Amino acid sequence: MDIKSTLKVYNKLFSILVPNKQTVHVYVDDPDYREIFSKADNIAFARDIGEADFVLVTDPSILRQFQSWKQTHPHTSAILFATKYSLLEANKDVVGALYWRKGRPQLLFLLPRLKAHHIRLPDEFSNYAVPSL
Amino acid sequence: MRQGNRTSIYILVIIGAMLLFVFYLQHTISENTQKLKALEVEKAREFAGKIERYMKAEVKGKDLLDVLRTDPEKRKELNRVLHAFLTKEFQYIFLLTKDRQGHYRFVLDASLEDPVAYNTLFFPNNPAFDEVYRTGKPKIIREKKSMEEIWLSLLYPIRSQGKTEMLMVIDLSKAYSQSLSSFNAPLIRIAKLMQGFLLLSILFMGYLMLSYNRLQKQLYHDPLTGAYSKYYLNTFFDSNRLDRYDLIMIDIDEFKSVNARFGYDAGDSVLKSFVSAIKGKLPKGAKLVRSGGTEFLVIIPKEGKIETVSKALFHLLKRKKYLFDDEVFTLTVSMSVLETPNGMYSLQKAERMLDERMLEIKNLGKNGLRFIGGDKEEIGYFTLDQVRTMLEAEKLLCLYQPVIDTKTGETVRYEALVRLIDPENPDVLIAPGQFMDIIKGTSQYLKLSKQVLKEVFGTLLAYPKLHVSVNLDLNDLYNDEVMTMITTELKKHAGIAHRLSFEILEEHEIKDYTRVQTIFRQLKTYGSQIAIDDFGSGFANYNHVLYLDIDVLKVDGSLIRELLENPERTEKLLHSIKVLADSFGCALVAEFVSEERIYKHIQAIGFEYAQGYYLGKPEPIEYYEGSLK
Repeated sequence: MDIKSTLKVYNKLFSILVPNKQTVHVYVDDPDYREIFSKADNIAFARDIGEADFVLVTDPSILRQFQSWKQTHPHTSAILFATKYSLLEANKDVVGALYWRKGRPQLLFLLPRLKAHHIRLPDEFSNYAVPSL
Repeated sequence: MRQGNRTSIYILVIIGAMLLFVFYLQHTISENTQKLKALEVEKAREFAGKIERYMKAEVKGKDLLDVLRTDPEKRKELNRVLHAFLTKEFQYIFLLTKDRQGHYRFVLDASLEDPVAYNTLFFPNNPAFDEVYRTGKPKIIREKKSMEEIWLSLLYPIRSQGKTEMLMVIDLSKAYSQSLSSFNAPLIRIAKLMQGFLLLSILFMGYLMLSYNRLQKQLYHDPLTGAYSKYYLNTFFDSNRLDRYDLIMIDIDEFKSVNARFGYDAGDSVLKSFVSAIKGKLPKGAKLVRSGGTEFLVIIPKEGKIETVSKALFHLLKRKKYLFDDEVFTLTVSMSVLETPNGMYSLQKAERMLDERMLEIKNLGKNGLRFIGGDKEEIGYFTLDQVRTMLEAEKLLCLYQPVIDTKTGETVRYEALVRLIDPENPDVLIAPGQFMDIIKGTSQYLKLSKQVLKEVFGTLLAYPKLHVSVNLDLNDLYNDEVMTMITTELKKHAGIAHRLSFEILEEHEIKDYTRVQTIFRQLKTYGSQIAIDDFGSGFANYNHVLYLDIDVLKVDGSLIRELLENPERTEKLLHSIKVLADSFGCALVAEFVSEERIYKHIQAIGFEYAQGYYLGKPEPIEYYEGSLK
């Protein structure tokens, strides 16, 4: 993963998904992503999901952590975003995903899930939003 | 210089041509690689066509998309078929269709490792997909750089009833593109190496040319004065016609005295200042060459200004003042000028002519400017070598001009006048004016004097009543060999001495009258007479009459000729000379009596003798005295 371009994309995503936050608290487990995010000044690592504005779902275990957290904190406002299509399919709380398919980067948002978080996509991203998978 | 530059330019042109060839080679290799890649693309297109035909055949006339939507088994089967087409060239093969919202979704995917499920969303991020879908025309697209695995994508529409219902995407892998490129990589590497080598060669050649030019500059210039060097002079006329330029040779007189008085540093400083003064006076295109220690050569393009330029230079250099150790001094120069005639190509010859003319100036007391005319006849005078050759072959004779007694009109004697015989044409006699100046001060002059004396003695012996006067330079008389020859002959033939007069040419100042008087007395002892030639001009002054025992005064021709222009005053002057001559017991001879009027004048004044064209031209003795036979 190219650090510079990945950070650029995620900063854009943060501006859409977690607006009005000078520092975005990200919950991420994956070491590669942690390394990338550590280079950004506006990103802080959340120690647990409760602290997070943004949860990066890189494998099913994150989803399980979220599920158990949600059971005790049903009104959590953390935004879940996946790095795989299958993870997007697996949990209805995941609002979108950024992944690679057939050598091509794929950005995908699910409109009803965004709506649940009162997130409105800018026009430039409307092509990547679908009502259902 | 030009030769060197030409060679460098040839080499650069060759290297340039090689460089172009290498670029061409590189271009051809790259073009071939592109052709190879284009073939692969064509192959992909053919495969796409085959796959489409195969799949349509498999559904046996039904709509392919309908079958694939409804029949998972058929999808599985056709996925396997697609998989069979996957090679290292084709990274991905998959079929897409558009849903109602216009989003692409997978229909088939050949990949076994990471198969994408039917109906999965796909965002191609490339407007070409929509274009092919709309137009129904296949297209090859180059994927974005960020897509690291894919080189090209073939978008192939699968149509039904005039509508595109699916897009077959065949992705050609970047690795395959690289393997195609690497096919010609060794050739490209060689071409690049050649390119580098040739570029380095050009740089090296440039460096060599610069070094060569720097070295040449050093060779072409005299390091002390900045004037051009002798080497430059030779090189210059290798590529320029000599007869397009006039030449001035300049030599500083008595330069040794500057070094002796002020030291060598002063000498160097004077030379620099001297060169600077000349350079400031030279016309456009002229060049100054330091051809020797104090000798310079000016090359001036022919524009008919050589006389003006050389005179201006001469006066400038004479007037130029040099300051050293609070002492101001001037220097004189000797200058010989050659107006180079058309057709003259030999620089060596030109330099020899200038040298010879320079020698004349030096013999005449230096500080002079002399020209060698531009006309071929005029400058066709003889060189020292040529005169030497003629004298060695004894190509010489004497003509005799009668000297007339003005009272009786009878010939009393003849003046022997030397002529050289042209070796190429014996009918042509060469007058002293064409060679005398060149041989003066050399051993050839003495050789000539001896041969003239030999000839005169022969004539006197052959004609027993003849009286002959012969010209001698003071240097002849100072020379033991000549004097021994004269005295030997006079002793041997006692009868001829009283028929022989020696006319002493007064071109040098007499510094030791006692010595000269001793010689004169020695000659007069035998009975010979002594005459002073050209009396009234040059060094022939009254001291001669005062200190020497002289028999005859030959009045200078220029005074005699004045009788025509300025008779009154000239007669007075000549009368006074007559009185002087009478007082000292000398006879007077008038030279250059070219017409009757002059003759009448000198008769009236009382000149005893006269000679000139009016009275008789120089002719072989037989002309006047008849043949001995």
